[in-house]
Amino acid sequence: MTISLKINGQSQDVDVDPSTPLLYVLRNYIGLHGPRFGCGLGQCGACTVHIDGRPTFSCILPIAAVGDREVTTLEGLLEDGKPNKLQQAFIDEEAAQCGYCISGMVMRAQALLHTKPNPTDDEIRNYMRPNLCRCGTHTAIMRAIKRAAIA
Amino acid sequence: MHEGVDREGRQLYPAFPYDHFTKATDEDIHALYSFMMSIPAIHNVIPANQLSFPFSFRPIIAGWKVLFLNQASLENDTSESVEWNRGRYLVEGLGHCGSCHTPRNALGGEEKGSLYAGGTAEGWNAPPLNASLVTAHHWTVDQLAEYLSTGWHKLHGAAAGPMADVAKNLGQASKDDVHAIAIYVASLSPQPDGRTAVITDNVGKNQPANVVAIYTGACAKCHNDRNDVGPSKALSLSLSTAVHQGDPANTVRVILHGIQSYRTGGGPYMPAFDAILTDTQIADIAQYIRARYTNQPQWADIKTEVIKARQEAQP
Repeated sequence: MTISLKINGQSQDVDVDPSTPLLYVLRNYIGLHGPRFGCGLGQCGACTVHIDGRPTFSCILPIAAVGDREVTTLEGLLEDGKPNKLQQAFIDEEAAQCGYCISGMVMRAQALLHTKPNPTDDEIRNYMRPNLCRCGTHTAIMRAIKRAAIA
Repeated sequence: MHEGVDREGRQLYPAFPYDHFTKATDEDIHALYSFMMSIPAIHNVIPANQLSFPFSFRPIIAGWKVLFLNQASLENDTSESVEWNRGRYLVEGLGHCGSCHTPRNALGGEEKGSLYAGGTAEGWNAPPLNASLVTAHHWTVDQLAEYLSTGWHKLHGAAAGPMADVAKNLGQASKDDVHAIAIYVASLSPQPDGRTAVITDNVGKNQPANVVAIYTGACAKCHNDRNDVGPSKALSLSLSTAVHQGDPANTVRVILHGIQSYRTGGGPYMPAFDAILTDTQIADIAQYIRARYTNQPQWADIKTEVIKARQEAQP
């Protein structure tokens, strides 16, 4: 079944079962490897993308439910092919240990900064809660988000 | 605690459930007082009363009390066990279960003729604790005790919404007290008949393909019907009390907000679908679950309930 998706500003047609999670389509059919497969159960946040600007677990979003909503992945945040302000802040703060969660962390943090350009520490902690990091890089992630907020 | 009057003599609104606390013994009230007075004081500015006239006029509460406050203490029921009496004391008094689980009349008084027939709490449906409860199977005392102290039972599901806080608190209460509560609550409804839970699965009957696809991709990985609850502790939805209830309040709210209360304790977990699915999709999924996993009629006005639950969640 052919389904049309709007991904990072471009229209894409894919021919897959409509129950397939968006994450699998992004990675396996379209070749966007920013979103990661972590738990597959909506528990960890490694697969976070934006749907109409809201951070969303793509591993439990069947493509039948995407409709004409706009999908943005980590790749879609690039500006002129270069990391945007938040992505650069994550690089500058070395806010990655193994790095597996980072793409999801960037996506969730970006959604926060879109609605709240200068969040408090508590607002950051509360908003980032759905995304898990096993390496304990939280303090560096906090610094990166604040660096991007101030810059 | 017993009279609903503060130390300056002002009438207290029954949002503070003194209509239940009045059943607590003097000894227990004194113990609570001693504990609270051992906590360091903080400076707290009490918010102004925002009720409109005449409700803003506190002395009218004295009239409410004449109608609805019964200060008589609970008499021991000698035909029942010591544990049952202890459970009733906790449920009727400090536990104030009826504040949510008993329906209220137009004046906010609990309808004592319909004790534990089900009520509401913060938009959620507080299910009946009596014979009118519709579930896949009856609760046993042990199942209730486990559910009340952990927030989850593998044949009934998770305590969500305001009940999650209750379960987290009861997890710190003594096992004996929780067991006594379970004995009393179980005595309010018909006793188990020994049959195992009846799993209803009307799979494949008149179900729209796009809704089935969304259910398969969004729900069925955890709710897999293989009797394997997985790391999220997800059950077959046929066992869910919320799915059997007469109104969709709890099903809609669980889909929208997920179950996040036990995240740090390894209890049940469900992701929030508020950003993942649209209002129409949530309504369709709820009706699909209802049709597939129960033999109850479809819910009325479900889309309205989804919109209402979303609005409630706005800060």
